[in-house]
Formats: sequence, structure tokens, C-alpha cells
Amino acid sequence: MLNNLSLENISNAKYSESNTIFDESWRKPLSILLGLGRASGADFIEFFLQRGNYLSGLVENGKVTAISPNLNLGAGVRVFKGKEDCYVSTNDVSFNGLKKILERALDIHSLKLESHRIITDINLEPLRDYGVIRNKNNWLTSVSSVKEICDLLLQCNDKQKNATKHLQSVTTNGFRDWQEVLVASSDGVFARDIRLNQSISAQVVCVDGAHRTSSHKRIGEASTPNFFKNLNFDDLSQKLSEIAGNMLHADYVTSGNYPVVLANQFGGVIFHEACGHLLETTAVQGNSTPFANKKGEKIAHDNLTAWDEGFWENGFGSIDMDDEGMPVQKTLLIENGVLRNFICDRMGNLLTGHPRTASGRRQNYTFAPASRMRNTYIAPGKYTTEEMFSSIDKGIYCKSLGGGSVNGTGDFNFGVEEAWLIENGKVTKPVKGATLIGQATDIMHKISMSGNDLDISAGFCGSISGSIYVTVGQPHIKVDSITVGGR
Amino acid sequence: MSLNIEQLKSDIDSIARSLGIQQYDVYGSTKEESSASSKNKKPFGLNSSSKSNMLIRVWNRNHQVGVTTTSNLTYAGLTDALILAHSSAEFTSRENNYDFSEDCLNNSQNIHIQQSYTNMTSMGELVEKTVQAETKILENSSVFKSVPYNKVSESISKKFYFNSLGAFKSEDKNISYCYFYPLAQEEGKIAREAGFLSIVNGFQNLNVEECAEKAILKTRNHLNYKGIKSGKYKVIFSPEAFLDLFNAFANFINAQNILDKKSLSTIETLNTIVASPLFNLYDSPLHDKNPSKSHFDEEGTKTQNTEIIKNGVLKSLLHSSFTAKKFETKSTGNGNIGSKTTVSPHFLHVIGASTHSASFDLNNEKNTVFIEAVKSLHAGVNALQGSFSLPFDGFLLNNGEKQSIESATVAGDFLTLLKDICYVDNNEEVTASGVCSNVWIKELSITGNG
Repeated sequence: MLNNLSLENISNAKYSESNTIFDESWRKPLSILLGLGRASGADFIEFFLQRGNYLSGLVENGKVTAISPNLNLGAGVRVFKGKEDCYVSTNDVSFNGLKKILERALDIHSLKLESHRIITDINLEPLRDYGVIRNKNNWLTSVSSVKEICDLLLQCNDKQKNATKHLQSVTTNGFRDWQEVLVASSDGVFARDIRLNQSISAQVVCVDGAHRTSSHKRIGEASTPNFFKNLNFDDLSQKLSEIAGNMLHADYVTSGNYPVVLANQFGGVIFHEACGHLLETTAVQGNSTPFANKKGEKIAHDNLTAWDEGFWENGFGSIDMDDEGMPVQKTLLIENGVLRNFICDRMGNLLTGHPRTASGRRQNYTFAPASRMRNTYIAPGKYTTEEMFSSIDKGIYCKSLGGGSVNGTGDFNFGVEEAWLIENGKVTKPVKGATLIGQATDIMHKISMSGNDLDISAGFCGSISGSIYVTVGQPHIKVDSITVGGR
Repeated sequence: MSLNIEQLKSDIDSIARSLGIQQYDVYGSTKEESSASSKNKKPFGLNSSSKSNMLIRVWNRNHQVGVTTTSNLTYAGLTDALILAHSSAEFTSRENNYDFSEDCLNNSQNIHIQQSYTNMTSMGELVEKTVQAETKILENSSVFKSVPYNKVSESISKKFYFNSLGAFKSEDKNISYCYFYPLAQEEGKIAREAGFLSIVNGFQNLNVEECAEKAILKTRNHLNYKGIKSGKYKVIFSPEAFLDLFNAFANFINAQNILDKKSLSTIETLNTIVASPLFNLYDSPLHDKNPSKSHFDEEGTKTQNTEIIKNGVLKSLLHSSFTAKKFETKSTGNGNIGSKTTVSPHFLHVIGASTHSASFDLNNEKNTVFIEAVKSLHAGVNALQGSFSLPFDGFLLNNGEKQSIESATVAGDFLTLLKDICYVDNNEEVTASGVCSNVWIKELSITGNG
């Protein structure tokens, strides 16, 4: 406790917090600022500091055309007064810089920094440092160098070029995104994490006369610095060539309502869009989800069970703690069709009463956190793909999906990259240009068969707190009926 | 704003000299922004930020370019950024021989566009306007259940460019915007959502109340909905919907995309017919209705009004200084600086035929689909294939009657669509990405559940 410490004393004090790492040296200045904020009348305060080192490389048609490093450093403070919050961010992480944003945040709540009272600093818990706990402190120095990444991208570009017919253009792109974050809040949380997301993707454009097609595939991980060193590009390359080859001369799909089989891995985007976003407490708070009052009720087919996990080995959306400092957990969302839990952050808990699930996430320090998904998937069932196909007279097999979206009414949609007709129980010919659209409350009851081949895929999710890394996943599933947009 | 750009220039120059870097340039911005949302008639999501970041390009002795973007503008942070940029240079292809813009070879074309700011609007005023607007919507009728997406925002910023030859340009901006997307539901029917976005220069020009009123009207128009039968229809795109769709396929007028062979066009497409003779397209960064006018692009090149398509013929592409050299022409001021310089439009302006035709009147259309807004562009567009299949908000028009369409998609081929434009009316509207009128298309595929 710092007795008789006035605002002038604090301003003139010297704090030798580290410039290169968020460590114990940050305890004193942050605990003082938190104490200042509470003494000024705020009910809860949370500081989020972030340092980032990002690198991406782009190879187009055999040449390195871009190397893009990005360094960032910044902080944000979130201040609650009752159930109302505000968020202020800055590039300036000096003590005075942080005090300035605290002052601004207090001012938004019509509060003023205390200047004459005895200020008690907040007693922060021992630093919970996942850089140490999970041995991640050397990740930035262990990752592949710029040269290694460039060499790898050139090799992959060459491999893809040789594997693909009618090729007009081939692009390979890779990035690594290293972040160090520190959370300190007035309830005593003091926690640090290191995150490292790495990914490689390839895109081909193929042309044969009047026929054109473009296809894209990505893989990514968040659990090791050795992603690029251990990379096996062959599987991705082969899949991409197959998609391009199948789709180049495909006919356009005829629109209509069909039973569909959705492949595993990125097929999981259907659950992500059609249901996942609508289970985030951000949607519940805003009364923009049809599932708001459905906890404990049946919202999906009996065969559907779904999870959102904080940590999954190799999962692109994996974290050790969320951006509010809470250790991650595994959250059961739906069990045999019954809604069990929402995806909930601190604000969601405050406004809805649902328990926090360590789901407060944000793109970077310029955003306040919001309830977001992490590694989200439909659990495996008992069926084989052959059983699913043979249950369909005329339908569509969506072998590879693109992205999608959902709005507040529950209407969702997503694009299909590779689709095939199912005729009399067999997969017959490729078709292109399909979009799947539907209503969340309706579609969840139509997932009638769930396969035994769960697999996951890396993805990006954009929402109120920015773009974050996620995993989507599922086994092959059958949807009894869905609207397929086409020509 | 707190960033001292003169100090920044001096620091970078000093660091560059100490590292032996002779050629560099910098594009950056500093911005203060405040925003407020409202939830259940109470303030929510109040946000204030002060941020600066920049991109530094550095040339090595072999004239290869390396870059770093950074928001760490301390002396140590700038030093790290310059070192990193310099070390990255050796890995980039020597064929990408970027150089300074012709407008930035000395200080003779330095410009500084300033706005006379008052202070930023107080958060209290932002909150008051937002809450009042949300309340107005919710109290308009019991059908309005919530306004899940709403925001009022103001930002003041300065963008700047400078380089090692003494070129120095800066431009102030003062952008305010608001949007309201209410959710409405009548008894026994599904929920409907629509909304309105307004972007202006200067907070004093932002009419938040009017924005809320337009959001109410747009959402109410969709309460009486019906499914549509799948088939081919004549389609009219609203100004916003047409420009959103066009921007999704903008690779077709982009010189860099053509060089990369990632465009629907090729070099041979110039001066050929690409659209209906009724269609004219300009890029107009200095249009008087553009709330975010830009006098120079990220390379420091002066912007201009570019005639892209005239009477259906592709007259010009959009260029950076790099693509202009490759095409042996002049930059159009559309360059975006980076490790790889890219190209994008600033503010598109669609102009139709000069004569009004009575045969094309929204009130007289029969069995025609009016598309108010297209959705899910990131998922339903294959920009390199030219095809799209997109959900939309819209109406079926029949002899003056407007019936909202429940849950449908529109699909087609973009290049075919341009040639199938059969009319562009005179009802110009300002949207977030440009100025356009309603655009009539002969026929597109509609998939519905009617």
C-alpha cells in the first residue's frame, strides 16, 4: 500500500517497467493506476497491453512480390460504472500514456481522477504467465526466419504450379502473427500470454477458353513455433488442384431446395454462421438472436452435439487465456439438440447473468473484447458418408465451402467452392456457383445425420471486436433440406 | 492531435542516415476517434482512441524495397522498423522496381490540406444523440424489438507522406458517420432487418435523427413480405447495391490485378466494349459529395478525376506509379503503398444516358425485382471467375406496388451483367463508396422460396 500518495507524487514517480517484455516490472504502475481508477469512483477497471510482431510473405507466379512486417504496441483501458462501460485505447504505453487514457475513460463516466485522497493500489494476484507455464517465451526467436519463409513459399508455389492444369496464376501466402498480451484488472487478475498464429494458403486461377475458375485453400496452427519447418504442403496442394480441375468445366448449379451433405473440416462454417454467432452473449444482450431465451430447450436435431473449446492441440483458434485474463475451458454448447450454454464474456455475464466461458476476445488493443468463438465444432456421430449419400435421391454434396455470414434475424448464407450432384445415392458430376441460404432456427433441426469423421479447419472471423483467428470443424453432416441459390 | 510529424520526419531522417539508408519514404496517419452505441435506451460500447501508425519503405543498394508498418513511434520503435524494412528488402523480387512517384521527386509539389477544426464533439453529445435515436426507433412502434447494430462516430485525422528527397504532403480529414439497423417483427411472422448509414464531412453535418427516421422507414417497408418464385427476372439495383457489387469485381479496372493475371480483364481489354453504351463510370476522389476527399494517394501522387468507362467502352484503368510505368502511361493517383503497391478506386461515379426514358419508371415496372442491398459479398462472389450468387434485401415491383421479398438470392455473371444494363436513371444518390443511380439489368436469376 502506498500511503499518502497524491496525484502529484504519482506523476513524478519513476517506474522502470520493461520496454521489451510485459513482466513483473509492470505490476507497480498498473496496480497504482487501477487503484486511482477505483478511488475515482469506477466500479471495475481492466488494462489490456499488447505488443505484436507480424510477418507475411507473398509469392506470385514464382516470384516473391511482398514481404510485409508489422510491429505494433498499444494499450486499452475498459472502465465500468454500474453496467455501463467505455473503452479508450492509445499507442502510448508509458505510465503517463496509460494515465491519460484512464483519465479519458473516467471522464466519459463523468468521473474525475482523485487528487487529494490517500490512494490505495490494487492488490494484483501473482503474475499468471503462460509464457512460462506453457514454455512459449522463446517462440518469437524460434520461428522460421524471413528467408526460410520465402524459400518455403517459393517451393510451394512451384509445387502448386506443377500440380495444376490450365493454370493462369498461382499465389502462395504465408504469415506468422506473434502477440504478447498483459491483462491487469481491479478484481486482481494479472496475467500474461504469448500467442503465435501461423498459416499458409494457396490460390490458383485456371482458364481454359471461356471457362474460368478460382480456388483457394488454407491451413494454420497456433500451438507451435515450428509450423513452417514441419509443413507438409502436399495434401493442400493436391486438394487445391482437384478442386480447380473439377470446377473449371463444371456447369452452374440449378437453384432450388435440396438435401445436402456438407463435408467435414471447413464445412463446420455452417454451424459457425448458422448457430455459433447467435449463441454469443453479444447477440443475447442486443436481443438479436432467436435463441436468447432457449437455454435448456431443444433448438436442434437430436443428433446434434456441439462444443466451443478454448484450447485444442493444433487448433488455429486456440488460446491459453482469453483477452480478459480468464483461463480457457471447454464449453458444451448443444447436447443432443438441447441448448446448454452460451458463449459468454465479462460484459455478457454482467448483462445476461450467463456464466463466463473465457470467451472474451479481440483483434488487438484498439478493440474492447466481446464474446467470440474459439475452436467450434459439431461432435462426431455414427454415420458413414456412404450412408448419407445413399439416403438422397437428388441433392448436392458440398465438398468445399467458402465463407459466410449471419444477421440478427438468424438468416445465414455461405458460398460453396466445390459442389457435386448426388443422384440416386451416388455422387455424380461437379457443379459451381452455389450459395446456401437459410434460417438458423430452421436449419438446426434439419441436421439429421452426423458422420464419424470429425476434422477441423483454420479460419478468420470478423465481428464487433475485430478479426480473430478461429477453428471451424465438423464431421460430414446431412441437412435434410436447404435453399441452394444458383442460376 | 498529439503526433508531431515534423519531429517524426526529423527522427526518421536521423535514423536513416545513421543506418546508411539513402532512399526511403513514409505514408502514415494519426487519428482521434470517438463513438457511442445504445442498447435498450442506455449508453453502450462507448469508445475513444488516439492512434498513429505508418508504413516505411526503404530501398537497398540493389534498389530492392523493404517495408515495415508500425504503431511504435518511439525513437527505438522507429529504429527497429527501419532496420527490419532494410533487412527485408533483399528478399523481394528485383522485377518489382518501385520508385518514388513523379509528383514526389522534390519539394516543389508539397501540399498541406487543412481543415479548421473545432474540438471533437464531447462523448456526452454523441451518447445523447445515439440514445435519442435508438429510443425514437423503439418507440415508433411495438414491432421494433431492438436496434442491434447502431453507432454514432466522429474522427479527426491527418494523413501524411514524406520521403528522403524532401517531398512532404499532408491532409486533414474530419469524418462522422452513423448507422442504425433495427430488428422488427410482427406477431406470427419472422423478424426483418434493414437499416441506414450516413457518412459526412464534419459532425455538424451529421443528421442522426434523420438517419434513424430513414432506418425506420426502410425496415417498415420489409414487414409485409412474401416469398418469390425462382426464375429469371428483370432486376433493378439501387445505387448502394450496384456500387457494392461493382466494387467486389473492381479487379476488372485495376491495372495491378491485370499485371498479376488476377483480373477479369487483360491488357487487350482497353478500348473495347465492356458494358452497355448507356453506362459511364468515373473515379472521382474530389467529388464534392465525397466526405473523404483525397488530394493525394498513398504514394503522394496527385489524385484526379479518371474516366474509366465511356459509353460502354473501357477507356482507362486505375494506376499506381508502378503500373503506369509498365503500361507506359501516367499514374491516376490510385496507388496504395506497401511491400507490394496495390491499386483501388477512391470514389466511383456512375453516370447513365443523358436522356430520360419513360419506359423505365420504378412505378410502372411489372414483375421486376428491385434490389435494395446485396449481402455476404465476401462469400457469394467469385471475383476471379466473374460469378456471383448473393442474398439480398429487395422488393417485387408490380404496377406501382412494392412487395418485400423474403429470403432470396440473385445470381449471374458480372461481365454479362454490365452488357445487359438497359437503363441508368437520373436519381443519383450518395453512398459510402460513390455516387450512382438506379441501374436496370435485362435479366438475372433469382432463387426464392415462393
